[in-house]
Amino acid sequence: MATTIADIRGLSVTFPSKKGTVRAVDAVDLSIEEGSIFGIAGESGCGKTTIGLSLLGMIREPGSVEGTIAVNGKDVTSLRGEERRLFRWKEVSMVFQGAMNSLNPVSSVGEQITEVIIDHTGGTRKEAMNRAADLLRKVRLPSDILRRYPHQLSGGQKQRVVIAMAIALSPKLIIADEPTTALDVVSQEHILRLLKEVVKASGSTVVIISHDLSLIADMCDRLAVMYLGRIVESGRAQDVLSSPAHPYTRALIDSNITLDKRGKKVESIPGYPPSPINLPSNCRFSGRCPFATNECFDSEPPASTLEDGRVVYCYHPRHGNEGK
Amino acid sequence: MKENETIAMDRVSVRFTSQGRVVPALDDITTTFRLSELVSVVGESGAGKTTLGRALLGLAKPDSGAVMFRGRNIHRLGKREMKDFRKHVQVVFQDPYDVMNPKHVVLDYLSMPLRFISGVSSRADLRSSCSGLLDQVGLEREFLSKYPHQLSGGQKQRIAIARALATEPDFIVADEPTSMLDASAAAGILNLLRKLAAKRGMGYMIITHNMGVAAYASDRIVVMYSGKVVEDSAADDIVNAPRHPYTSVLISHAPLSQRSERKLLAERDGSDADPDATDPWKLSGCRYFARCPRGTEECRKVFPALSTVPGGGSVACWNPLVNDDGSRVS
Amino acid sequence: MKIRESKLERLFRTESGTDTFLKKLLMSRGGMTGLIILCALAVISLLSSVIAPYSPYAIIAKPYLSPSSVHLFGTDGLGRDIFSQMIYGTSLSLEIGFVSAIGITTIGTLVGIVSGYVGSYVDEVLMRFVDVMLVIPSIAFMIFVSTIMGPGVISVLTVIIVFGWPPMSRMVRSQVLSLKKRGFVESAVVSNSTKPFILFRMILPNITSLILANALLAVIYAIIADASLAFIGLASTTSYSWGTVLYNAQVEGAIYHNGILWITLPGLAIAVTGIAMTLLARAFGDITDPRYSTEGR
Ligand SMILES: Nc1ncnc2c1ncn2[C@@H]1O[C@H](COP(=O)(O)OP(=O)(O)O)[C@@H](O)[C@H]1O
Ligand SMILES: Nc1ncnc2c1ncn2[C@@H]1O[C@H](COP(=O)(O)OP(=O)(O)O)[C@@H](O)[C@H]1O
Ligand SMILES: [Mg+2]
Ligand SMILES: [Mg+2]
Repeated sequence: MATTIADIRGLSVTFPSKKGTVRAVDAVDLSIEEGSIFGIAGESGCGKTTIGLSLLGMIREPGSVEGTIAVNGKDVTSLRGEERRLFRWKEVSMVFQGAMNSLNPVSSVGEQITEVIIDHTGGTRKEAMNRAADLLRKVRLPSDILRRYPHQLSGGQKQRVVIAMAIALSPKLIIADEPTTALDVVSQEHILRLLKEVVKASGSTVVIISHDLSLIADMCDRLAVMYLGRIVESGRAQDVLSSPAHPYTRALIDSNITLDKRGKKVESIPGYPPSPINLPSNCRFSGRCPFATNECFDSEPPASTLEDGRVVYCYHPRHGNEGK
Repeated sequence: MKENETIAMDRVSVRFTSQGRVVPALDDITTTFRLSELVSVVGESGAGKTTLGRALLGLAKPDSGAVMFRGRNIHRLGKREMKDFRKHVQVVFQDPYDVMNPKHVVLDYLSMPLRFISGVSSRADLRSSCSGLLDQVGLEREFLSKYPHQLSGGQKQRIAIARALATEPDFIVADEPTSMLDASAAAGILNLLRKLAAKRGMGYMIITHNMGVAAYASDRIVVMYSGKVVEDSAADDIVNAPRHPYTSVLISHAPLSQRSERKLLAERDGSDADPDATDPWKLSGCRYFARCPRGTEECRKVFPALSTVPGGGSVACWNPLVNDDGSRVS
Repeated sequence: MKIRESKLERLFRTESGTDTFLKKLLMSRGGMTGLIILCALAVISLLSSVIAPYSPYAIIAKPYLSPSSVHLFGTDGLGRDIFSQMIYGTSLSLEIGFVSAIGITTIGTLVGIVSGYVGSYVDEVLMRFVDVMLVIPSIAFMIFVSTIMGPGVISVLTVIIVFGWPPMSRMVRSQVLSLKKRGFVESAVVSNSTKPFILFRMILPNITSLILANALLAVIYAIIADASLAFIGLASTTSYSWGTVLYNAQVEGAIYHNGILWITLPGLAIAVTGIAMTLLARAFGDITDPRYSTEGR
């Protein structure tokens, strides 16, 4: 039995807004095994980034966090000041969504990586520079990239630089938020393979967040599918992808346009997700679900566990899988 | 008459100067698109796809060569003819988050082509035409009074398509219409484009880096690499029997619906290597040479011209993956 | 480049909120402070004849009197009341500030828009001209103007405006250039929109807040420039601005006659006005920052 690196219990994250309270994440339980690759998938706005930020203890005022988050045995919500500063980057780090486009345009890649290192380890510039060169090798970039500026790099190279920064202090847990969005398919694959290598080489754990389920399903060990702040299905990636149990997971997979869909009709999920303000107390997907029954419109489905250990929040799991 | 319904590029080159060197974003491209055609342009970022689309629309002026619409150079059109061109050839820009003026509502946005091309002027007429357009893209008329920041990416993309449809064009160029969207929204957009094409006999060009999208939405696929067209064939041929080594790399990277141990061609494709070593602009021969597993001395020296191959389509490669008799190279 | 665009992005948010611009301005602490100071200054200048106990030109006491309850800031070398001069100076300084700002903004915006929008050789010519303007030694030109036109408010305004608009036009031009590449402008182009439509409905609305913010900063630039012009003898001797008061303090040797207030007050007034304008301009920027917008996705 592998040890658990991150454990989330009953996590809810809310943000006040003019129109009411936004429940970005609602009563989520998650546990992530050390040394694995964990995926979080779901349409944009379902709360993936918010979970990532929660793991780093980075939900800022006026957002509020309920529930417990334990990472590497530490209670994240109670960390403060210097302790919290060291916790971030050293124990958990994050490749932020769109970070590759917010690299500082006026300092070189080398300066930016060494800055992170010196800031947290306090070593000399020279040591940091050696470490930076080392990191670049790890993310498979030539070392002369150190002297270049962000605008001289391709999208894929910038993303590698950002990953190099995230692994600079050898954190136990790395969260990669939409690491491949905005890259072309060829670069996407390289980045995913790189993340996989990182896990293998260092034994760290990676959480990959993406709106593209089938993209990450290929490389994750386990994954969780989110809808409107809730996890609707979680389990081994292989199982989820080959026989999705929740109708939403099914729809998400089916709506993905892939090479083998040529000549077939890909169905998009009808309608739009409801607003995260004033969430309904029934199944959140019921309004868009082709299999919804009265039950689904009345109350929220409890968790049910399938034979393969998958957890599904649905009154009719596996519905619509017939003939598959 | 029908043969004349085309938009064609005749030896078009577009060059940009960046960091002191000249980048030929389009290098001597000659190709013809029928207005009723469903075509995709595929390639990795920087291949020149956007520039190709912009040149077709007259938004990027060729440094040499000409873009011909129904046999006339689009840069020599008078005011009236330009209006006619804009009526028939429309565009959906790459970034849905940027296509609407943040100070305008959807009605203002959709009214533009109606006012300036179709000559609709009364407020009531504009309103009813615009709700008709929204209806075509599956949105309710309430959206007319919304500002862009009140719309999701998928909704913005639909509205951008509605604007392009306003003049009932014959041909729409859509630049990465799905790359900024969730999978479900992306499928919705492509289905919409397909449906409209089928219903109205309209053609389109979809620009994408994703071979899956191209295969799903089009009958013909043009593969670009570093400002050159390297393969231009029927979609079925491209998917089932790619002839250019680069096409086969794109195919192997296209997403599949089931988990698979993909053949990671990229390993020897060299796209993972330092781009300076594979810098296409430094090569006099085939641009793809530095990354190509099949490269020979000939490839290094001379750029292979795009030429037709047996079984249809054309490819620019000295050592294509298909033999002269049409069989696959093993 | 990057920074400029994000700045632009911030500007785009203004219209969308349900709150009016003014309400947002009042809700921001800095904007509110700036507005209060500006209103106070406006009241002083409108009511200067009521507030000031004496005429600024009237010799009403002995020269070089120290501040007292009768002459709050003392008297100058001719025996004129400095407090009254400061009050009347408020009016002229603000007038110079605002009139110049209007001139600078109008010319700068016009040239910037034409240059950026029309492009090609028109742009070349205009921008070369701006370059020349920026390298002309302004002192030489000022002396030239003062010899031709003689000292006075009109000369001061001329000089300030002539040297104030070129940087403004550069800023506007670069904004127009980056807007021209934006998707929504290109959408208008492919919709066959007319040039005036693109200019007035697409480009202008998206640079107005930036222009306004810069106009506010131009006010304080003009007030400072007026004070400096006094020192090369271009200021009007027949009317008082804060600059003239300061100039007089210097030439009449205030420092040897206990005139600390006399010297510091004009500077202080200019500084306070500067703070007000900067606060207002900053509030403009902040209001349009998406981070401050409570809605938006
Ligand atoms: N700082 C915030 N203030 C208000 N609402 C927020 C904030 N951060 C996220 N949200 C809202 O929470 C929901 C989930 O957001 P996010 O976690 O970013 O989703 P995802 O990463 O899955 O796209 C969205 O509805 C979003 O608008
Ligand atoms: N306005 C521009 N200025 C300078 N270089 C440009 C400009 N537009 C495109 N390029 C360059 O031209 C090449 C092709 O670009 P583009 O057509 O956008 O490719 P794609 O759409 O396939 O990603 C790239 O190398 C790009 O950097
Ligand atoms: Mg996110
Ligand atoms: Mg492009």
